[in-house]
Amino acid sequence: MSNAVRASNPDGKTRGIAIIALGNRFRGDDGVAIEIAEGLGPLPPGCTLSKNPGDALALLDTWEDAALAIVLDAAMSGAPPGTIHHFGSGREAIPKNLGRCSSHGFGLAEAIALAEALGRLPSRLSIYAVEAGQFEPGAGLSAEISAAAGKVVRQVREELRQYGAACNKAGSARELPANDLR
Amino acid sequence: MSRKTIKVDYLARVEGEGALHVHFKGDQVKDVRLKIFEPPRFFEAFLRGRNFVEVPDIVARICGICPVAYQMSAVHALEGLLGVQVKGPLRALRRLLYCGEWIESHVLHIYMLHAPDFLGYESAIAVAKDYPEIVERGLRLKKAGNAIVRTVGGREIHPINIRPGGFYRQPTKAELKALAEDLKWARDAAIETVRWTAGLEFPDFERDYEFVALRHPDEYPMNEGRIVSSAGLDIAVDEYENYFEESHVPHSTALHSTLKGRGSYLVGPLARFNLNYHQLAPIARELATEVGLGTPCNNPFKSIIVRAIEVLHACDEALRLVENYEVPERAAIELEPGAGTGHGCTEAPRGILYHRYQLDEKGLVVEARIVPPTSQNQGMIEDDLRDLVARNMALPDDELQWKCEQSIRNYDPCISCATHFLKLDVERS
Repeated sequence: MSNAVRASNPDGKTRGIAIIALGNRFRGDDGVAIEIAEGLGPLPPGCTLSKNPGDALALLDTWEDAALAIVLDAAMSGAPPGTIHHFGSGREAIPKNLGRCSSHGFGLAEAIALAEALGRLPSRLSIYAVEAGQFEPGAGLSAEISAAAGKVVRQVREELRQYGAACNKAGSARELPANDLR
Repeated sequence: MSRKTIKVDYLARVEGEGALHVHFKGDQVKDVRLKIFEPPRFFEAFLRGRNFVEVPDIVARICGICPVAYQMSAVHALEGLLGVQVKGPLRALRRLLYCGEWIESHVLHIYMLHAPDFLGYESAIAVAKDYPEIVERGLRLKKAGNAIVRTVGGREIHPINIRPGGFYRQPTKAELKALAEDLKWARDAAIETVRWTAGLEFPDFERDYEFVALRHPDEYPMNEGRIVSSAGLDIAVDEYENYFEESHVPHSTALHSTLKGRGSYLVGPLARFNLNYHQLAPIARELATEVGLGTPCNNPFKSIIVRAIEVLHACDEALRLVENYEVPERAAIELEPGAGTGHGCTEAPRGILYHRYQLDEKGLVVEARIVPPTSQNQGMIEDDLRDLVARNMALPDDELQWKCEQSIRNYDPCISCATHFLKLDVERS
């Protein structure tokens, strides 16, 4: 395998990377994930990008066959606007109010908990969430959020590069340690 | 004499933001308020000045769960105004789209929102830990509905393929045929869902309701019909405002709808089932008989079984529509703008959804009026709670609160639609 970041399931099905961006570009800083996704440029082979694949339940299907899922979202935790939250390197708890508002109170944190209960988490899950400052209709991104988006683009590219290199070395993503987000 | 308040600030597992306040003094319920504090959304005002062709795309944004309902009530109102009736394969395609929405919305409510109440769990996530196969069945069944909406509507949430006169693009035979296998599985899963929901434990709670739903001579109502009730109402859709009125109550940003001179009424699955049982697909009637669900069903907690019956009906109907699909010659009937007033009423998953539009001669919206099912059910939700609390005064507060929340979810309230939901607040004094 060259630079293709893929691995095989025991059933031989090829697995890749799923990048999932969640947010509404028409609601101020809620559009940050879409901005990051569009700033990533060409993606490595085997890597798919989904923007708002449906309701939160749709996340389980979107990352189902992925060896690595990278989720991009806006956060509302009370931290200063532009703060970058990254979950994925260890066993950090995902704050309940991480994701954007969602129907029936079912958001990203609940989707992860449901996927875990059903054994449907990707092998590795990496979440980047940028603390939002405002959700004003039509306002676009605040300056500090825009700057943070640029930083996340560089961080995701670096994560993809490191993951690809590790896969190529190991020959299979399955041999990489799975992370565990609770 | 003891005074007590039970209070829930944000009700979970409902769509939107609301609260419940119950106040009782000794053994008397003094006050029950379903407080809807989600800000009003002013969609009726947004629509003014917009071209009639834009209306389905704007009203779809009212709800992420039932956008098709908004689109269907809108196109029917506009087509009536412009003197056009959509028939044949285009009409069948709209019915298929509506089946998709009923399946996804009902399955979400049955499995993810309402079942945890009956099983004694806080959430569907907790249910999934103990009963993963049940939750997996629900997720897959919902996906069958999503697939219909995506294929016919262009995407799952806020579909983009609907216009007055028909669609922007008609799906190919192959695209619809691809849905058939999943729908066959879904129909079997819906049968299991009916059996499973019927096996839950139901409170002994029945009330006399005036049920209101559409009725159509040839089919279980979705897109068309007369508005009928269990108390003898039988009116054309354009007479709606002569018989129903909306009023503002201080504790809610959603208007309360009542039947003039009669008060609260109930819309939704229970009303449709009780008023249109004979129009259900034979397999749905067969399952209702098997699980002992007869008409009238006056126990609102059993609405979860009725939703399952409707999912079965929708899967069966969708499969029939897919198998008999003939590609419409044209995606839409071209409409010429014209002035006038049009009325539309269709059966959203939660009940009848009424729209009225006035257009000018250029086809621009002069006035719009939208009455969603949750605002129509608000009064009945409060009436149920008043009765439920009065009958269960002896229960400890936490159990009473649980029952109250479960009772609210009998209606699958969509607060975002109604403000266009929920905190629970029980006060004993």
